[in-house]
Amino acid sequence: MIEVCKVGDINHGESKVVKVKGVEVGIFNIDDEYYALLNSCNHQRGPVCTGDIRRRVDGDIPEMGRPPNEYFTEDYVVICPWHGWAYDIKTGSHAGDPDIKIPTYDVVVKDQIVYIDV
Amino acid sequence: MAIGGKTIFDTDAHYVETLYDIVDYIDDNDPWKLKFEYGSTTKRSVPISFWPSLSRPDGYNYPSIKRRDVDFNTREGVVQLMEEMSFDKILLLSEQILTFAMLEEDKRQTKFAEAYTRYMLDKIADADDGMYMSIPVPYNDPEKAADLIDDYANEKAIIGACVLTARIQPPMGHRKYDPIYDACQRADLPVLFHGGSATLDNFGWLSGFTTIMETHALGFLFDNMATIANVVSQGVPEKFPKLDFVFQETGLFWIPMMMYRMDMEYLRMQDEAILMRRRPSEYMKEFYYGTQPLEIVPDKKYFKYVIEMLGGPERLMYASDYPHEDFDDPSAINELTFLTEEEKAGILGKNAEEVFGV
Repeated sequence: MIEVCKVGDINHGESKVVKVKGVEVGIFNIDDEYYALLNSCNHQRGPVCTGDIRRRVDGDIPEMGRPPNEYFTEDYVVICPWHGWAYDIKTGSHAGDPDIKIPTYDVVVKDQIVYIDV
Repeated sequence: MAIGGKTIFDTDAHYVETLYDIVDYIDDNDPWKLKFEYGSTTKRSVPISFWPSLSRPDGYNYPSIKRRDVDFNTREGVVQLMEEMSFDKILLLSEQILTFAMLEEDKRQTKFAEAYTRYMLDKIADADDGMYMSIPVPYNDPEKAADLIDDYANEKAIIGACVLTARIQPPMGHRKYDPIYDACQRADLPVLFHGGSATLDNFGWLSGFTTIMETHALGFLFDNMATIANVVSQGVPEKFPKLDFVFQETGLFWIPMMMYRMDMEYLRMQDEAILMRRRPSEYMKEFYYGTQPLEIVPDKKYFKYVIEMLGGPERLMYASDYPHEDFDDPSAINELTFLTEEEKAGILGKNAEEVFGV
């Protein structure tokens, strides 16, 4: 496990990109839980972890003739700044196609230090 | 009548009715009866342009096939065509439905669709003889369209509901059309999306052209491209999961282009299409496609890759488009030599028999 930051260095809903063993990894704080994703979009290798972070939008099948009811889910996505591909921060899965995934890394917080396993 | 042991099911031939033909199927006390009586007794097709062109000397869409002496305006004519072409089954589409693209208000569509359906059931369509029909969907009045489908869907000869997709605004993914899809789903009636806009100077969506060659190439394509993009993006297959969709008269090459172009757009903007649960191409691979008009290519091997990309030969249904001149003979399918005999049999008839339940 490798130390990447301290608790408090990254606010909720924000990220920080670190370089570990030559690999760029994005560290995310979502509700004070920490997650780590490879900073490389599956599409064209854009710096996905530097993109905007927000809750995923979803909708339910509406009643006949009515518009769908849009709402924010509890899931957070990071949106690649190059082409807009959105990935679930917890799972690394693309928001529109779970078969597309970017690698995730195990994260451990101990004594106010955030470690990742690369 | 099969060819080489294969059942031939033509899934798109136009019955060339006139307004005058169907006037007896409008109530005597309805002023619309008089309007239909004023309809031409001689012109069996729809106007392309006030001005003639070299390809349409009289300015009308039909007749243009001169290879067969078939009057496709009678039951006998349909029987004669089926015998000459070795069609075991035929799905007849209205000719006048092509005018729907020109109609802004709704009543002409509904009056026509009601009278046409009654006329065809009384005079022409006959399931026992393999002569089937689709209901022309008066989409400008979705509630009336749903009523029409409810009223006639149980008729054995009715096996589809046809939407002429020319310049429908908003396109067919809009929620206002939900009652149409709901009625079709309840009746287990596939929806046929049939391209159709092409006049001399425009094709409905865009204007400024000067040849029908341009507008015919672009118009039908735009009609079905707009429809498929909108229907998929608005989640119609998710809202009506048991419904079968058939796209007609646009050939094949556009399908993989739309599939993979839409995938590209979806993967960066999927939160706009909140009812979609899969990539656009995955929905499109569950749709069906009429084969006509097959593109003219320097080597037929190119069809192999196109058919593979769109989901395989089981997505395809042979269609003639008789009596229009971009007509395809069943031999056009048999000439695709990379297909197995079973795959050819599927395209020529079995796929459609399964989808339409006949």
